[in-house]
Amino acid sequence: MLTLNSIAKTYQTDKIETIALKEINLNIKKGEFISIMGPSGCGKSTLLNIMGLLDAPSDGSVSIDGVEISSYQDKGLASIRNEKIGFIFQSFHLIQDLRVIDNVELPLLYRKISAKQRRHLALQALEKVGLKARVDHFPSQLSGGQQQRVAIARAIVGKPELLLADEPTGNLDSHMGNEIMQILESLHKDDNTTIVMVTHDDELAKRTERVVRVYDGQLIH
Amino acid sequence: MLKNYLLTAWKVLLRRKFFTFISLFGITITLSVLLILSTALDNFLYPSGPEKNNHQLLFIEQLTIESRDGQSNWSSEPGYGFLKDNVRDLKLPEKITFFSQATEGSSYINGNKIDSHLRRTDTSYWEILDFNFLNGRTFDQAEFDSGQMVAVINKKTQKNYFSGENPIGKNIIINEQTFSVIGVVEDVFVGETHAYADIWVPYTTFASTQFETELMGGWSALLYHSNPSILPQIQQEYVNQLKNDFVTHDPEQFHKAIGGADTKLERIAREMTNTEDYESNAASMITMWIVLVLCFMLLPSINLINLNISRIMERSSEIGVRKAFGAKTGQLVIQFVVENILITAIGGGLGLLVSWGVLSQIEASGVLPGADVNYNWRVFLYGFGFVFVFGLLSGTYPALKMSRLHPVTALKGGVR
Repeated sequence: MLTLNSIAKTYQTDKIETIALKEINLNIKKGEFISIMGPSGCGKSTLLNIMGLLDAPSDGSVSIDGVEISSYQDKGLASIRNEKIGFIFQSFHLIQDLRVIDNVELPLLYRKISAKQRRHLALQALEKVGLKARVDHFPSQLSGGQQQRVAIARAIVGKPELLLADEPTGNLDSHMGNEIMQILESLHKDDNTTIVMVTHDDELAKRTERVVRVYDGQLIH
Repeated sequence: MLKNYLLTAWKVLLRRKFFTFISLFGITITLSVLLILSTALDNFLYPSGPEKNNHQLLFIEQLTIESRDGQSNWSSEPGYGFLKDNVRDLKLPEKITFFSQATEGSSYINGNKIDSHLRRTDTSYWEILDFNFLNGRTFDQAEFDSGQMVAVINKKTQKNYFSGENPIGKNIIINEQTFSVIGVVEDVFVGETHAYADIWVPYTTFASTQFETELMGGWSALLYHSNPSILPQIQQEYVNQLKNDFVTHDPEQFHKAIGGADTKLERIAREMTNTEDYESNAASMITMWIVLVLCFMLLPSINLINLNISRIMERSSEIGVRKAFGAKTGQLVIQFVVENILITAIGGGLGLLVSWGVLSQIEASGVLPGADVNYNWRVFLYGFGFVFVFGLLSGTYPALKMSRLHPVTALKGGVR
């Protein structure tokens, strides 16, 4: 599904060169649920951003479904993100001015889909996360756990093959965190969605099929 | 998608009300001024009074004469003598009229001085221009030829001289000449410069015949053709007359006549650019207007650009999310421009109301005699155009800047 080949990421300021990732080789199979662990600042999120085509590696290549995407321009990358990848962020990143249903519909705005079909798919996604009754609410009217569920609905509404979750339970208490984890597990089990989750929580990591550990920008085996 | 954009835009407007107020204030003032100017220009170019058929008219009202030695030249309105010798016999116009400039004249009623504008015309004048007669008639050819002392007055004069009573058959004295009133017309807007006057009389009533030989000063001509596509040929015929067959009573002194028979727009251009040529320089004037309008819009646009950047900066997380979920740079640019056009459109609507209020006040105040300010589809079209250009000017740069944000940076809420 996703292959990272000799990935390196370096940030260059005026005088300092910071190595965020080096020589990362990782192959994620279709339908796999993996977690990425490591201390703060070790490069987990950078790795996730590269997997999600939000950031480009300084060196190495990324392939999705066997297609190397290093030659893709901004437009092509946006299309792949829209069709194949869903994102869940630690701080939800919901658009506060839009209702729940409009937030969930957002990825579909960038596809050629009728408004009716968008609404139908968004309702389906909300039903999956148990929030169909909250379609007309605004994010500020929901609890943290509910907001994250809306964010998951937004991430899965386009039926992506790959779900990238950056500390999805990081801002939630353990009860809500558990709820979110259960939803991710059911998406993995029922829909065979490939999930990559960054987490600090050992307990949550143990519930995934594989744990990848990052330290000082490198994978530890 | 558009619905989503507009919904977001509306929410953003409501979110920061002070920003919204400042933006709307600037847009409203700018567009109000532009709409007032456009309405004035529109009413000038497309009048609703007697000159409403000005697309079938050519105006001769400026002339430059050069002396034979080339040392001196004179510019002013043409004189009757020039028009009689060089315009009367043009072949292509269906109708030609000569008439004097509207000059101020005074009368005394019960010891009170009343100032009026008097214009002397021929009979074709009344056939070419479409006056709205409220009472009576204009003078006929026989009355004109015999120099009958008859006059057509406007409603305002009827009110001032005759206290609103029926003036037909009554006398009116102006510049020490007594005329019998034979008709009353609706007041004419001062912007319809060839039709505007308070009193119209036959030019054969001039006390002296000296005007008949004067080359320069005080007269204008209108050339009419029912088919506007013939007008360029008439213009050429007039220029040929000046270039090749210029007739003057004093050929020893006056050698060359320069001027043109202008459409209304060309006439304004000739006046504004002070052109003394056979051509009117209309293209330069239009270019100048466009540049002026753009400059006028530029300053508030820059202000709005800054406000927009601040506004959009607050939404960098949203930009990041939209990018993460597949929004392309072009789609984000369109979104922000649409949002900006929405606020500009609201400002445009307010500007329309404000300008309508200002123009109604001007109309009611009597500053512009006979003003009848009309909002029509053209003014709305100008308004729409201004809104669109203003929205693009002030929305595109912030939209381009912010939509190019790196998605990771945007998600972190900052600018790299």
